[in-house]
Amino acid sequence: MTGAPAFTIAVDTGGTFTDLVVADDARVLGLYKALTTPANLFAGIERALTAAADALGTDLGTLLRQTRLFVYSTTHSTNAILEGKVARTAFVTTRGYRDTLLYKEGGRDDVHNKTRAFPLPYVRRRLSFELSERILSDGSIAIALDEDEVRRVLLRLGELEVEAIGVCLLWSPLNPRHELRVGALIEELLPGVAYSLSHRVNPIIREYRRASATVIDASIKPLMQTHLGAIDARLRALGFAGEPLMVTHVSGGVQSLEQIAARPLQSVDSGPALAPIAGRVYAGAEPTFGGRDVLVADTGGTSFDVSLVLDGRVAYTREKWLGPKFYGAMTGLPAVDTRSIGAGGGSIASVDRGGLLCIGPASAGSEPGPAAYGRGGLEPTVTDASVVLGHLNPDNFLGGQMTLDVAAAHRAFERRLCAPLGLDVFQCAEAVLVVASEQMRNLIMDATVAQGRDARSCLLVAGGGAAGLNIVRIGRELGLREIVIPKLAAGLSAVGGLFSDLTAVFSRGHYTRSTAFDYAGVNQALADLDAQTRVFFASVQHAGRAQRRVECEARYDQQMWEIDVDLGDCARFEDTADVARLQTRFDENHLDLFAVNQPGCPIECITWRAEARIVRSKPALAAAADPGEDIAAHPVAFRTAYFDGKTVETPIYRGERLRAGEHCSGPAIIEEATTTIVLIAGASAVVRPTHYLIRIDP
Amino acid sequence: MSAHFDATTLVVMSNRLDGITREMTNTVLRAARSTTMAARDFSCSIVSADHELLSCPEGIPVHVFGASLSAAAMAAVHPDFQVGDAFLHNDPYLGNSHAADTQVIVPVFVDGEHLFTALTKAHMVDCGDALPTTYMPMARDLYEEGAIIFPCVRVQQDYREVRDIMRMAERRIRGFDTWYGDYLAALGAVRLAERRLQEFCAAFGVARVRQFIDDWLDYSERMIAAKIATLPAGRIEGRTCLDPFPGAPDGIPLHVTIDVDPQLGRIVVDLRDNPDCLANGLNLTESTARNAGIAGVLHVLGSMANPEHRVLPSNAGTFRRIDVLLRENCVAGIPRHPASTSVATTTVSDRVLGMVMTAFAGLGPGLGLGEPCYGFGPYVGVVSGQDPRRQAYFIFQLFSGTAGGPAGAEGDGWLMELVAGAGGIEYMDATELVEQKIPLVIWHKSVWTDSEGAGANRGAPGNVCIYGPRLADLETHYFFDGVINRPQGVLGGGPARGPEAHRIHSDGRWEPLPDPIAAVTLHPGQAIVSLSAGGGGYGDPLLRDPARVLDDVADDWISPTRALETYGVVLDGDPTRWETLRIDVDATTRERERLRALRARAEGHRQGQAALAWWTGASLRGDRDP
Repeated sequence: MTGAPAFTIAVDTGGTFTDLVVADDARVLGLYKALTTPANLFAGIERALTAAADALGTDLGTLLRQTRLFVYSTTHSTNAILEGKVARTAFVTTRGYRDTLLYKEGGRDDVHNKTRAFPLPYVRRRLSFELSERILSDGSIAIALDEDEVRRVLLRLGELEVEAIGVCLLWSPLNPRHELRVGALIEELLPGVAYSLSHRVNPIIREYRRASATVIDASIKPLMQTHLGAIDARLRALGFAGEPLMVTHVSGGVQSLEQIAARPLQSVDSGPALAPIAGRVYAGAEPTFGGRDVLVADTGGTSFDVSLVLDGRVAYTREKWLGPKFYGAMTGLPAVDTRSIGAGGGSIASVDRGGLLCIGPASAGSEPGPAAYGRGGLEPTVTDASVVLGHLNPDNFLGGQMTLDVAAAHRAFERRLCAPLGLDVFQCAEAVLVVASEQMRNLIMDATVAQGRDARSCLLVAGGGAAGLNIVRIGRELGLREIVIPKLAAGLSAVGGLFSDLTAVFSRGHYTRSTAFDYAGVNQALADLDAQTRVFFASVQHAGRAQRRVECEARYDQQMWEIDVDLGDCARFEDTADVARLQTRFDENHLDLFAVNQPGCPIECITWRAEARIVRSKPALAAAADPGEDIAAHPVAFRTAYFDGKTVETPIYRGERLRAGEHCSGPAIIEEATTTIVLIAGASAVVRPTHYLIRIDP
Repeated sequence: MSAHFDATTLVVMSNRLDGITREMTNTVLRAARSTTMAARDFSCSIVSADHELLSCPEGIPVHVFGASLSAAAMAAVHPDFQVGDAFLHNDPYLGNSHAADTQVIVPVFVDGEHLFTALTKAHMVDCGDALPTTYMPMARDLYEEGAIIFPCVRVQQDYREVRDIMRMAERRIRGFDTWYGDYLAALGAVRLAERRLQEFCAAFGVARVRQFIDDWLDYSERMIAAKIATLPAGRIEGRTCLDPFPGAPDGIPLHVTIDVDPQLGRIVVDLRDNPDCLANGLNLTESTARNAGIAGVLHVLGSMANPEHRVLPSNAGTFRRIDVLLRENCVAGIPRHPASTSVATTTVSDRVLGMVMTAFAGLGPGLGLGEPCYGFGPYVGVVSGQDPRRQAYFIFQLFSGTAGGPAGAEGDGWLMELVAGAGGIEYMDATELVEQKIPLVIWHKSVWTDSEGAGANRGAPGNVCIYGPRLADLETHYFFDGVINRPQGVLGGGPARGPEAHRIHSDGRWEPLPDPIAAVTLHPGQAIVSLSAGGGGYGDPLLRDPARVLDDVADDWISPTRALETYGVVLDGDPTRWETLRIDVDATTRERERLRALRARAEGHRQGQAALAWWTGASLRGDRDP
């Protein structure tokens, strides 16, 4: 292996596995997995790199020396937050607003449980401090900052030995003067203490979201700056000499190490954001795709995530919660709209007092794990259901790394479910799969309706190690006709890292109404955004083509929530025709989303947003051309498995023996190295070079 | 167990139905215009053709039961209802909660047959009341209240709007554009439900859907019966008393008798022994009276130790095991036209909820709750005025604060109960959003230190909210209860602080605003201070873990003084620097013993007084009944 550096490597350090994908200039070479090593993440990365080097017939140093781009996706910041292992952080805000992080935006579920513990705020009240200053909704200063008071507060923070400070003053996105001054005083009085200013972290209106984003950002700054620096240093010590390390962010793109380290909030929960990027690529690789919307499902060991690609663009939300809705924290950052439920292979099935079958919320986790793991688990789980039904090959789990205990799975069902449900073991197992699949179906429905789409008009791309076990069943319940299951399904996010662009999102709050449109103000805001995107483009040292897209967040007069209106690469508003176009687009979007609209009703524009994108050149998923689909595949074996109440001698196909163009029909099971696909009756699979296309009869 | 019971299908179909209701909720939330809707003061539900409530996940507790009554009203008023109809309904004498809660109701037909009714109930920004507020506790009757009543009128025929109705609404309702936007959001939700329910029937077949309805309600009934079976048997009583109101100068004493029969798995809540309808707007409606009784019981059941984490479905099957006995012409019963029910979702309703919850504390260990926050202070005031920035009139209800929830055996009260009847479902306004829409400044929103009902588990503290106009006069309407008769604790738990309001003048002077029903005009430069109630405590505060007391002190929820005087916890260190505070264990033990001894002496004194009560009682009676 000689010549110019050619490899691109993407690594995704997940909760259980570190997935690593390698590509050269032409195509994706393979997926390599190692167990994640939480205490020292680089150890797992190094093992996965070594596995890749072995498979490619080279050594680690040579592989890295010939690598031009390294894309890093990490759960480091997410885990630190969930485990509370972040910097000791203080919250500084406007007088009267110390409880912003405590109150959040109110709301709850489980309404009859009056004594549920009220969630602790991200920064406790004892570390929250107020400044006697006040800016109003027009940006004017009602009460000026009292610098002596700021100094007193900062001295107190020094006394409390805080390591990070989040500053969020009311209306700072309109007038950042006070926040900037507080920042300068922090640098003067508490040099070395990390701090974040809300108008820089997330300049949106709605103080809770901005404050929350700011304190989270500050709290992970020290550890993320250290962590990313260390990963980069280790890679370079081992021979990596390519472009600056790229790190994935929650908006489904990547940025350089320096950019993420300056605003580490973006790295939180960034792993799931890559799945739709990969989903879009796989959809594009399917000859029958036809530009449909893409629904992406990612089934892990403990969770099931859903995201969407609409009109070729990944769907975003500004309401993503870290942790459960109402009880966790929200940042208001534009994030890939991934929805998640804790319905994974480890979820435990039980029967309640009314006789109803329930899946979860308890999970067997990885210790002791499902009963079939043979590590002392006694409760029946979703994975055990697939084992009992003969869908999972007990001798080929995780590529043969583990043997499953079929008898233990049977015992768990007999012990807990058979008697209360009045069903035999097989019927129980099938019921467990039906109910788990229903929960996943509902999540997909929630995700699509929230974006105003019908799941049936989408192409479903299913990834994750456990994807194939019940996704065909879910697809049938949703009324879908086609599903794409990638051969590298188990590393969907890592593949996404390979195909992501460098992106950054900038926003400016500037309020105006369609009936009295503030051309000068809006054009100034758009010019500011343009300047910010230019700075971003100039700072990028990676090759690629620059693109820009502007959106407006608008609402009907006095409406409470905004919706997005795409303005393309709009630079300016010149006359009433431009405003009328905005209004028409808004009316159309409103009708799409909510089934009603009010053409003619004035609209209010709240926030202006620009996405800057450097489009990188990408490898192909596979080199081979598509040879059609008319050859019947040959099974390698038959196994007794249970389908729809009957035992069936089921043909077993092995992924490495199948060639593009072959097809097979359910009931059947396809075993890939890192995933298993269960085809029910009425479904068939066509082998493509990069994936399987599953067809379901209506 | 039903012969057709199939656990798997049941889960699948019930999840799908709840999914439809959640989709309705999402639609209303995102498309709505008013602060009330954005704050989640609405509920979406689906009922069967027999008017039995099937699905209302995340519904406001005080709204939930009324869906059955309102669907029944539609069938009674319009026996000829058909495809394409939609009905506008806010009639408090026909199953609605109160006039401001406006429902959009659509009958859902499949193959020409009525199978479901879909409803959205929303508290509208205005309902044509005599004053610019949707709460008129002082109104002597419906005429003085002034609300425009739509007794389940047809507002769409053949999917087309009946313009006459909207013309009437436009003449009578303030902020009509906002109202109409909210109406459209509600209509969008029920029309969406219509499509989804038709798809639901197409997917499963009408016969299976019918079987599902029976089985699903039976299942819910079994769940609650199993829960009731774990309770001790017995008859318990609860009492509470509202503060004096116009039309009730001595306050309003309320009483409930509850029979718990674990063997039959049934609870009977008897509200018939209560005063007749009053000449004010406090009277309950049939739906709010039933709701308050049912919600009180469900709160108690839902707050018991629950290792399985199972939640009772909010549907007619669950309600079958809770009988609420009401009588006509009763303040906590069924009103007779034209009695005013303007504030039927709060006040008396909150008190009924409270006395049901406290009564259960007498049934056995681990049961019951303290009283919830009372009052409807300026933090949820209806504000109105002119906005000089747009030369336009505005009217909005604020949700710019919260109030405290009651403690129970399993833990402290919920901090953001907001108002008792909503049980914390409602959202709190973002200050920046409110200030952008209305020319006012919200200066302050925080926990009210030392306002909690003390206890082994403490109630949640109330809230301090301060706001004032920026550019022009602002009118705010609110009303209080719980000022004199504060939210009580149980089993030795203490009372919480009741609500208060003050005006801050531009020279900084604080002026108390004692009127329980207030319409306050604030001038630019002035502000109003809203102090909202906390929740009642549960158990003796001297038994509270001192570490939890220290935690509350460090976060300034309670002061070191209150820690000492109420909880008997002695702290060492600098009270202005929380990190220096430590519990003095020995001194705390001694202080708690001292407080117990003081209490025993006071109790002896009280009993001595009680022994002579025949004399004071006789004297008082003599004064009143010569």
